[in-house]
Amino acid sequence: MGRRDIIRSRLTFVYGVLALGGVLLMGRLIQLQVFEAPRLSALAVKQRTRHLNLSSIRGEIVDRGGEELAVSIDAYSIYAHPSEFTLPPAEIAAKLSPVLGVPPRELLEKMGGPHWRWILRQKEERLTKEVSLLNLDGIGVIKESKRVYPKGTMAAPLLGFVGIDNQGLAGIEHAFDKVLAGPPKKLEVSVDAHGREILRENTESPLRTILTDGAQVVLTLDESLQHIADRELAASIKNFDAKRGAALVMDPSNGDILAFAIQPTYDPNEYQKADWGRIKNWAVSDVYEPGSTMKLFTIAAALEANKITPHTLFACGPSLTIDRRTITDHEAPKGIRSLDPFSILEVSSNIGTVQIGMRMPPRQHARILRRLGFGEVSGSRISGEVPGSIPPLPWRPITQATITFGQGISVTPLQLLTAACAFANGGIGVHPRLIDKITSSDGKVIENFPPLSRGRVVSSATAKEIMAMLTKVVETGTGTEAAIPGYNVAGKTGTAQKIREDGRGYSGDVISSFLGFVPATHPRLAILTILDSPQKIHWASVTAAPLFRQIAQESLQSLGIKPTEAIVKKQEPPNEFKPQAL
Amino acid sequence: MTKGRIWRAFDWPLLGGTLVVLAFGLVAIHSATHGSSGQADFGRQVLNLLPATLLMALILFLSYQWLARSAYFVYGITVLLLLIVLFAGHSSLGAQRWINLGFMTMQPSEYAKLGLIVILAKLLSEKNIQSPEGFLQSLFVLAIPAALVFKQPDLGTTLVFGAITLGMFYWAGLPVSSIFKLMSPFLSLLLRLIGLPYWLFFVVALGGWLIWSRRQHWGVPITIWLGNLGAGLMGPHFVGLLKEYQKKRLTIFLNPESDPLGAGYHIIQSKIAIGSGGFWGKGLFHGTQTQLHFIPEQHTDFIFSVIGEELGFIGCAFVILAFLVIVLRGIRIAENASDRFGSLLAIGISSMLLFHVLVNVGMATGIMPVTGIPLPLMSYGGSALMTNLAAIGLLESIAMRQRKIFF
Repeated sequence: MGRRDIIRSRLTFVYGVLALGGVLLMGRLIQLQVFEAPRLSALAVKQRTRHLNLSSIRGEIVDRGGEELAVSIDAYSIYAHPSEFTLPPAEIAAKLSPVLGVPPRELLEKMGGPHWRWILRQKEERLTKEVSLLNLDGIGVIKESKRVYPKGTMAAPLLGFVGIDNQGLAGIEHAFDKVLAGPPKKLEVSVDAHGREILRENTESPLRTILTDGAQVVLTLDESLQHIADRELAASIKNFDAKRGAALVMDPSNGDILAFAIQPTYDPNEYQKADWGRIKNWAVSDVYEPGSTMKLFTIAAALEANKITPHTLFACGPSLTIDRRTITDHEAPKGIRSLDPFSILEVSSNIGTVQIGMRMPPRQHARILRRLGFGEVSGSRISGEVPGSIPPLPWRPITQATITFGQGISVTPLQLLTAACAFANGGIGVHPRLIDKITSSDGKVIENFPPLSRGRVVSSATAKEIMAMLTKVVETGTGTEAAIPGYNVAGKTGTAQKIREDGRGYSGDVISSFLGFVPATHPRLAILTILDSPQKIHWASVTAAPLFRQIAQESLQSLGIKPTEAIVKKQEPPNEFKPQAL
Repeated sequence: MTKGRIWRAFDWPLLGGTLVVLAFGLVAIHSATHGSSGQADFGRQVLNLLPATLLMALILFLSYQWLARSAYFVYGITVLLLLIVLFAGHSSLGAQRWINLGFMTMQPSEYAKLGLIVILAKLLSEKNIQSPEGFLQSLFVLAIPAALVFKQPDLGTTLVFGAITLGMFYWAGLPVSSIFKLMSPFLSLLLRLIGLPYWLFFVVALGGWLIWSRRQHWGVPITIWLGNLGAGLMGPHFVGLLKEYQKKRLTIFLNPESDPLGAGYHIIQSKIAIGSGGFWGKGLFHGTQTQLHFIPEQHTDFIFSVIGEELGFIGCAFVILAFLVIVLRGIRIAENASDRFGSLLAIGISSMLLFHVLVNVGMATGIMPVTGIPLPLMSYGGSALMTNLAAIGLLESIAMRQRKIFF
């Protein structure tokens, strides 16, 4: 066989191999690019697409005048990405330590492991420059948003605070977390093989998207009044060596909460350092026995039930025994007094109040109390609010008797003040209102929370009588320390023995409170002051009442409310205390 | 031969196919590297084209017959360079394959392919492949560079050497049965690794066939049979010679999903790229897999995935068609060469190119093991470009001096 023949015989095989190879490759390409194309395309899309959670700028919390109570500022956080390190971690830690002011050992701990981690969160911009000057691979700075409370401790238990990852943990920050944080925003981005994000050409800049996030919450609070209440309350607590105190200021006509002071408090900027006891908003979350401030509700209920008139006289002896329990009045004269409701409230007589209250059948008594708002959550939208409790019917006589002067019934401070507003408001009940509206960052109203009326809870006649009686209390009764020159003031003291922590009977400590309105004729402010366990003096007439006066006086000035009458010479202050109420 | 006659025999389709593939390659390299750390490689490849084209032109004008006279010298240089690599080579990515010349690195194993083709063409044109002398001498000249390259380690190039040798042996007249006998120990080894029963059946069947087809004496069949037995028995030991990553790379294509972030990553990503390109492709510079760098070192061994993703099936088919033209012209030139040396040279080059294309595209599409064989004229790499353009030059040189009579 010659070479030509060999070649010719071999060619068939060679072309066969070539054809086989061609068919194999083309077949595989058709399989991948035609039949498997949809599946493989989906895989390609999936592996290059990431959904980023955008951190938004949290909306502000402002008072009714737009004063900022909680704001978000730029903060800079430093992270480590150990897989990108080009230097040994120990060396990186040593270089970073002096700049960040963190010991190298602590930094090393944070940089341990292969994964991305924060080293230092939410610091000032200065650090950014210093860190970038070090030029360390795998160490970087990210701009974040940090929550700041410019007024420090002001209204802290009400506002609450925010965790490091922008989640509301207490107070309004918690209750309105979704509103303030804005809707969860996700951005779809393409990532390269190393997970680096490559923004789509036509997507909005994520920064611009962030700015439209987080709505603003506008409160009914008045920053000036809040400041006054906080300051005076703190001074009183110190003065009388009380355990704690609260001062709530409300507009009785619509239930707007103007000030909500709780002392002692904490700084939400450093919430990590605060005790839980201070973070808690106990003016809504804790109940107490109101004591004598309850008496005006007893009298109002009896008036409503037509069981008494303002001039009905009651024979009040030195003591009264019900269900084998003896009820007494403080510093009562030996004999039998004949007192009308005015005088009973004025001297805060337990015996008189019990007689008034017990004229009502328990069912009716309870119904009127419920109508006033006791035993239910007020609807203030303040987180952690409890309803308090009216003892369940049927009542034994002693149960009803003690309820009339504020024992055996538990209320929250906010509830008590809100209920009383009905008298200042001509008999129309209100709901407390803390949130005025929610607006977007550009000022558009997203949601309004208009004042809510409870409707008529007592007749206007009853309301008028109660206001007259309360005015008398301040003029000549236990509330004289609450009097403000130039204004007529209506109010009532309350000094309630505290229930022992173990629930067995009463302890030696008291809760002193004063509930009042000013000006009494056209009430603009309803104020409740409470001092828990004042050690120096127990009596509300000389602790809570003056606190009321100080807060009310300054608040009136702040609001520019003119005196209603010429300033008359102030009455002689009583030389001796006449504590009447228990 | 007059000058005019030479140019009339010039193979224009071969040059056309070459230019098409080169152009696709440059575009693909640019697409895969622009805006990334490998950006400079595009410029480097363009620069490499200059000396490579010059080399091609030089070879084209010189008669290839000159090579027949200096075949041993060429082979000697080849082996010398591989020895330099072995002792003073530059390592990268776990293999010692390069010689650092200061201004550039050079990969002698690429040139060695041509060196092997030249020496085998020389030997086989002068000696009868079926004679023990010719056969053993041929195996011997294969063994030295193959061992040196295998040691680097560069399994892919070793396999290319094997493919070149097989192609040339067949072309030189070695019967298919002999080629089968030559290959049988490798088959034996493979079957032993796949499963003992397969191997036992194979060894027994082979023995029977060898007895049945025996011609003169017993020596050769017994040697072959013992070789098969030995290869099978030593199979697991031979596998031990391979580096762990080589073993994994060789088998992962069967199930890349078993290690999607490790050994299987390249194959999975390449398949996604090619498949998601679909029929028409995503458009040049718009392939997400390519532009987002899902395929590391894409401009070298996985350059075909750029074409697949951005130019789709149409682009792939065009490239494969161009390669087909090149190989077909190569075979044609081998068929018409004026002498046995030229014919063997042409078939050796064609075998090399065909094997490269089959294995590389097969790898990129996930039907062949990952052996690190570049796509000729397309993959980034200076030495490979020089070698392949020199090979094309050689083919043209043979074509221009063919025996065809022009009227």
